[in-house]
Amino acid sequence: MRSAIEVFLQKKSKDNYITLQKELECIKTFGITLRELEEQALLLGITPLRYKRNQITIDSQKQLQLLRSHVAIIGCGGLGGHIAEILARVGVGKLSLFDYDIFEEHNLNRQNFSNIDSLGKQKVLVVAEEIKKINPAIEVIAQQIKFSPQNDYNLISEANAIVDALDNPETKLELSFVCKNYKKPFIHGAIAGMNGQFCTSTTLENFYKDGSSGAETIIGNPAFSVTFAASIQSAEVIKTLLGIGETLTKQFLSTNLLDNEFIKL
Amino acid sequence: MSEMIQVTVKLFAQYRDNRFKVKEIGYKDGTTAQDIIEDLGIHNDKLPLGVLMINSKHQEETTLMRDGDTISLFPKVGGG
Repeated sequence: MRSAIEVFLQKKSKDNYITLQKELECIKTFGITLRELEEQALLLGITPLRYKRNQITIDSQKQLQLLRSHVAIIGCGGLGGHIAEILARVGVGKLSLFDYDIFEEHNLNRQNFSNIDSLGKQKVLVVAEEIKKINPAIEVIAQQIKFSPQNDYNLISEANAIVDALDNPETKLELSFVCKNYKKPFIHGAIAGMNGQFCTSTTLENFYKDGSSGAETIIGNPAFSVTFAASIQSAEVIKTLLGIGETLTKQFLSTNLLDNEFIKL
Repeated sequence: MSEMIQVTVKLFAQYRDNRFKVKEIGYKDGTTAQDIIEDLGIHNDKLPLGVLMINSKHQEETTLMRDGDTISLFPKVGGG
């Protein structure tokens, strides 16, 4: 026998899509959360309308898989802020965000959600608030800490994938080894100027012989390099969560937007 | 007189500035990757070395170069 919620979803959906307005009506009527409702809808093959343009790259079944996934994003600066937005829009159900810093004027060239009003505010809180506005069905956990891979692993142990959006080689290197020890998918990305490097579930000793900074401290990071890199990492996350396509596992992708060189080794 | 070896040197990103993208260079037999890095004037205090590959495989600076090898050098990239 169909539940009342199922009947409602089937009655109120059109062409297997349900609008946000109908969803809100439903959660008010039945006293459930938006996330619970979307899970039930997707189980019935009814997709929230917000995901219509994800289809059929991400079909309803995969959308459900994403809704049930948890991703930890370590760092909410350049890479992390954009990755958080992308994953929220794609529909990853739970995001744990980590950053201890505040938005400053020199972040305005590239960091998502940095603007005149958010200057001086905690990045992690601003990013969490903004992505909840984009997708209220997802759960967002904001942690205002300087993440230590060794000491804080318990905070990410439940995640299905860990995103390296850190801004320093020392912690990137440490995080890569912690993820390897715990067999956690680890999505690495780094940028400097118009260059980027990427790999998935690979430790980083071949990239960082020591913890010292890279070229980025001299040549900066323009916005297009950051958003480009955030897109590559987000795609790696989605492929990893869904088990589709080819990831950069045990590979090294080097990108150069100045000369349009994309080298995979 | 020691023999010479031919090495293809590939440079990436800012290492190309005032240098080249790819060049075949003759070195003395017994040359290491580190010797090539120094010969090119790539100093760690400016743009530190990130990836060092020889024939598309990660290698150490101490690796002895052989005739016909290709060495690829990428600056360290660590921003986020």
